[in-house]
Amino acid sequence: MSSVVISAPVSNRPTRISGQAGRMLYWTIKSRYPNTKVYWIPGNLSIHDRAGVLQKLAAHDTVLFAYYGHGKRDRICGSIPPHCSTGHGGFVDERNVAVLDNIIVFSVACWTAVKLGRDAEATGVRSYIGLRKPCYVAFPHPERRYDIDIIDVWNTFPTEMISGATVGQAIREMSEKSREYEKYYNEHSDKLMYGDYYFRRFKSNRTALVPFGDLRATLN
Amino acid sequence: MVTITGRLLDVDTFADIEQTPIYLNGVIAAVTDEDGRYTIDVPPGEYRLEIRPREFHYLIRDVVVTSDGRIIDKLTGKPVKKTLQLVRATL
Repeated sequence: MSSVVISAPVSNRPTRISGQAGRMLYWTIKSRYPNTKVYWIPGNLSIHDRAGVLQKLAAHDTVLFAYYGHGKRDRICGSIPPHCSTGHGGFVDERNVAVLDNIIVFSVACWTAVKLGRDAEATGVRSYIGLRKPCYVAFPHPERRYDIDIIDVWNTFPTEMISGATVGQAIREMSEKSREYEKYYNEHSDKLMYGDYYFRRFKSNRTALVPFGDLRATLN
Repeated sequence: MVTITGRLLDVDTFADIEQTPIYLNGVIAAVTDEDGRYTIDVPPGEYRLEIRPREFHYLIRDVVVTSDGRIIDKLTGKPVKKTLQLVRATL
């Protein structure tokens, strides 16, 4: 039985949305894919939590790591917001990027395709999907639950992978889902006060996606 | 003319949000200073207030500026606060 590790630390308002995405992914996998083991690490990835998460990543049966949270060009931050100058290292960075070897990584975090993706590819990740630009979240508004929409887009990738899709197919499905929302916002921008804003944000996230490694990889 | 004053803060860190344009009906009416403060002189009337700092969630409100200097949110009917706290929109 293969394992999926989900990490979605919550440390400020944007990560409340990404944390919700992690929680929803966990329950989707639990309810729809009973043959897949899933670990959800919702905590704030303090120093004490990190060893456990890294141990889970290094386990031989881990095939997919879905991370939702803060990132920088060279690191997955864990709970440390990138705009806070704590002097703290990353949760995964060039020093321990080998922990991602032989797994498929889906990183919903700002900028993490710029350097960390290349580092991961160089050390042997099966596939790595990140963003080369900031990753925008969506918030609920009285006019529409944009947060549900963006979570739907994000969680398409891991659920498609668990359903048997290749990395390339899962990226295409996720991009198509994003396009559907973009089209809807664009067509209804006269009724939706934030329609134009989210049209551009969803498009920015979609066009910033960068895959590394094997696009034909599956979880099997 | 009515003078509107306000201030922009990051809701999580309480940092001032400086050098950010304040739009009224799509036109830049003011830019925040180094303390995140802005001042706008406008005639009373109905406006769309938009604040679009990079990496923050946009704030868009349809408002009514009254002759006594209050700004009323048309959606809620309540006065718009002078200190507007914006949410960071990126991970």
